[in-house]
Amino acid sequence: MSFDRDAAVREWRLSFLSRGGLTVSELDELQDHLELVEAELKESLGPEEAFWVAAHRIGTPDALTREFAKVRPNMGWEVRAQWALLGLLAYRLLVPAASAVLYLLVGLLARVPGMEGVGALVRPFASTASLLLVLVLSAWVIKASRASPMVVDRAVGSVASKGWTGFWVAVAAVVALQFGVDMLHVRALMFTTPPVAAEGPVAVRFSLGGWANLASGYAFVVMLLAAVFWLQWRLARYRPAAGGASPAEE
Amino acid sequence: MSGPGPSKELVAASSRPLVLAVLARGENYGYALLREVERLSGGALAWQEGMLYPVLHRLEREGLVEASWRQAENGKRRRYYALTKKGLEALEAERASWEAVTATLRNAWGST
Repeated sequence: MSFDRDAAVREWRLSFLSRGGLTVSELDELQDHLELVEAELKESLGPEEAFWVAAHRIGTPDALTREFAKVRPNMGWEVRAQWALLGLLAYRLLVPAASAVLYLLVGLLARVPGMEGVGALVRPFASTASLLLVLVLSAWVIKASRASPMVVDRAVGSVASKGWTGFWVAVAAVVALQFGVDMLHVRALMFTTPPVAAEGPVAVRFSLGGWANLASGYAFVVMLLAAVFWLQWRLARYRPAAGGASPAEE
Repeated sequence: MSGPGPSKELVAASSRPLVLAVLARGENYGYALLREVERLSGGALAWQEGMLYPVLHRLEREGLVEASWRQAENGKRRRYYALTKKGLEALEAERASWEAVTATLRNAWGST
């Protein structure tokens, strides 16, 4: 097995970037240092050993990120703001999905003979119930998977480290999700409203206000995502003016 | 890891005057600066190499050093640090306080 140094360096850089604590310009500087240490070690070690010993001498990503964080006291707030925005984004996408599922269930129930009245009875509570459902389900998923917040942190960090490509991919994913949720919602509404459904699939029509409402929903989700990315990039390249490094990573 | 020698706290505290003092001899970049500190200390001060950079960036934030990316001799981009006027003043202040500390210690150890 031959040692792929480029891949190792990429991995090494990513392990810092995904923690969101170092700027790209700082990473360039660290990499320059890494290469100088490597060159010094290569006199006595093979290329792979030289790389790992140099990386070790520079310090672990966790320890270094912690030291860099001390230079930037308000970073903690930016991380918190990012978590709040991520929570809002999840709420925007998950609660409507849950409520659509509930509506579908109510519609199914209403179709069972003798249960027609149940749908009308349950419907006023559907939004509260869907919120509860999302909270309980996400708490259960987090507990069952034993996932640490680092998983989310790393995921956001690695997508954001891809620069604009990463952003547009994330926008496409979120818009597709929102579209799926909207579709599910329309279906569920049609399903729970028998007189409308009876008139055929064209029954759910959008007025101009309806379209504007729909568009603003998408715009809101994209704005939330943009804010998450903006914070991530800000966290990752804190002082671009001082470094003068290129804005695009890799 | 640290073994005998100055404690982590002492190493951290002395990093600031040391970096300023080395930069007072002329502008430099991280790696060379670290080797110079190593040489001056005779290997007694062991720094985790990467830890130098948060120190440098803090000094830069305080306006004590100025950094610029420049082409190194091998064609690669390298970040050079130079002491500012404010940095020179800070070095003088650091020097006065450290000399006060060492003088006191010397007196205390010498006078029994």
